[in-house]
Amino acid sequence: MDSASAQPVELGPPATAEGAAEPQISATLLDALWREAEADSLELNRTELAQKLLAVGAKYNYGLPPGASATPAQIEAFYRSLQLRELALAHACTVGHDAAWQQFLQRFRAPLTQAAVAMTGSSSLGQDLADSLYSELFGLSERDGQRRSPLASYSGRGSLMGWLRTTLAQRHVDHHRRTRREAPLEDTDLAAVPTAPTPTPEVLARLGNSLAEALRALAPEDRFLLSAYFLDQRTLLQIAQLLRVHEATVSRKLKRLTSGLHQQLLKRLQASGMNRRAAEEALGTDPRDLTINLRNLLQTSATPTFSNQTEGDKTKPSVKK
Amino acid sequence: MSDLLQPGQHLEADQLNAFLEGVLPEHERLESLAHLSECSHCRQIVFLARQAQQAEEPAPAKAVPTWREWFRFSPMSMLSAATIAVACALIVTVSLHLYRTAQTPTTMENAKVELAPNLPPIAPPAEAAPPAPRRASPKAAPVSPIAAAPEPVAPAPSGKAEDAISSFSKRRSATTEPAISPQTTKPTAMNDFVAASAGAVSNHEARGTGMLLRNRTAAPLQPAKAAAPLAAKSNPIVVAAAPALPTTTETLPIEARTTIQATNETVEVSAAPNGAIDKLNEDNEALRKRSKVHALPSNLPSAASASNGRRMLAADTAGALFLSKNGGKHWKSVKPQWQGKVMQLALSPRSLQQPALQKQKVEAGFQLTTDSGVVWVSGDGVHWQQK
Repeated sequence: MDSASAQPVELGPPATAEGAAEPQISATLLDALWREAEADSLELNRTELAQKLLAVGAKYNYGLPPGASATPAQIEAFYRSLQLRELALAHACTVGHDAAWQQFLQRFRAPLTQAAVAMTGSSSLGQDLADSLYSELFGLSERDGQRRSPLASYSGRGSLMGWLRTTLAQRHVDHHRRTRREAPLEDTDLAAVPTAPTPTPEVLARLGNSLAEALRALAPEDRFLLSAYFLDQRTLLQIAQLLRVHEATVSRKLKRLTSGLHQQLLKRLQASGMNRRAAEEALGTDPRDLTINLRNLLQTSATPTFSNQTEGDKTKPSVKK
Repeated sequence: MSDLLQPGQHLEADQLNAFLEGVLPEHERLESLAHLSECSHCRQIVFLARQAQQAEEPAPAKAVPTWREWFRFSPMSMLSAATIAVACALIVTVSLHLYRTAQTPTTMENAKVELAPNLPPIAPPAEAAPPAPRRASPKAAPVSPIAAAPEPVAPAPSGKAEDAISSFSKRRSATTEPAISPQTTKPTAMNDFVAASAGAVSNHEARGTGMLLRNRTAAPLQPAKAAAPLAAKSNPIVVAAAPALPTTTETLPIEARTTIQATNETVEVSAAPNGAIDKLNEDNEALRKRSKVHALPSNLPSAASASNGRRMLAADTAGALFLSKNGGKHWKSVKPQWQGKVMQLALSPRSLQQPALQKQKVEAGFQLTTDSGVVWVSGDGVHWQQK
């Protein structure tokens, strides 16, 4: 499923899902937020801004875990933590104010093209990617007779430029995955590796089960590390920058993870009736002899993931289907 | 199973961006991580967005280049470094030259050496064919002050020359033939001259004093009698050697920087004993080393000095006495046991009168003369007794 298809939010009057809760923003606070957002220059009135703020607050429960009720102070703190100027700009563009679009183009046209070029590695491809996103942002696509713009999904928690960059990356990955299906297989002839004696099917089954159990018991962050490093072949630096930790920290974690997995596998194999020597020999099995799919194992955890948790939560549109 | 065919859910761009920028609350961050660990599609988006963000960020300007930058190879930097090094070397050389010429104008002069009146007549080199052993007076031959020296040169003990000749012949004979007459160790006019020069140098504490010996003949020298006559006519000192031996002319440039300023001695050695030349070379080295003596602790110029091997005594202009046991590198003040100032320093005659071959076994002594004329003697330069 492409990411783009999950984005559309209707333009025009804001959704009234949270209309039942109705305004929870005091006039004084709203006036202060409206001034801080410089919404006047965007031709955005207080009501439009209040509707957007209420929608964002309800969507993310004012930054609190699901089920928790926010106090007025927490609500105000949440509003004030938002990128109000950029949220107002995005919302004004979504509504269709010309002044907002002028500002948007003036501020983000060049950086967006630059980001697209950096992602694609090509000037022409980057220009095409940026142009296609522009048309999408402007709401050229229609559904049920109404223009739809992905800008409506911007919540103001991060920067608008970051949101645009991530959206560009989504479009680029979608495009890449679409075209990759059509790419021919590389005609490479790999040399055969000398094969070790294949363990018995019983040993392989025990090993597969133990490995699956060990991987499922891992914490989400550990599984993310293993996935990013071993499956996606990301570098330590890339992972470290993403997690905002030092490169050495990622390295240590990975080392600890792999050694811990090794020990757990040994224990599990021994618990299944194998002696230590046999267990160690089983760990030396060629992975190609295993019928397990590590990718699938890593993608199914014992702890409920964000997507699983939010699957039934229709009030949280942060996960797209 | 292909990921593309999996019906799944993906995080919104807003959620991914908030995760990237680290603004998510903890519970949402963990949820996002859990989803990212499962979803390669969202991981790819996150890493791609991060990569684009880094590409947009301007490279942080380095306020101060690290030290490694200095060692990064580039042709221009190497050329610049070489140019700077050459310029610095040139500046240092010119500055040193200017400093030396300004401070002590080095003049190369032939020292005027006058024979002592009590010396026996010296045979000319041509007549020195028979290896007649010369018996010079053991007393130090009075030598006139060196021409450029502003201060009178104190008569140096001839033991200096004695040492020179003996070790001179020893080393040479080790390479050629060790046939050296014991008389070569006797003080001679030439020995006296060399000793006087050395004594003058040491007495004046001349820094930078040098004595160079150059063997002008390439022919190997034969061992010869060391009784070298001193040519009194001119400055060149001619050492007469045994007949049928090649003639060697040695030039002894002596440069003094402080009081002697500069002196160039020419010593012509006719068929000089091989060992003598070596000994002179050794003596020359000793003088060079001595020229590198450090300043006295009192920071006053040296008025008198005497040395015996590496043990040196020096008196500054204030009359204080200092002792060095390592050739002048380090000085220690000697507690005065006498009244008045130290005016003169010399090796005591007791040690000077010992034969050269036995001298090494005999403890050398020093003697000093105070301004009141009292003479004190000491074996080690520390403990003194009035004579």
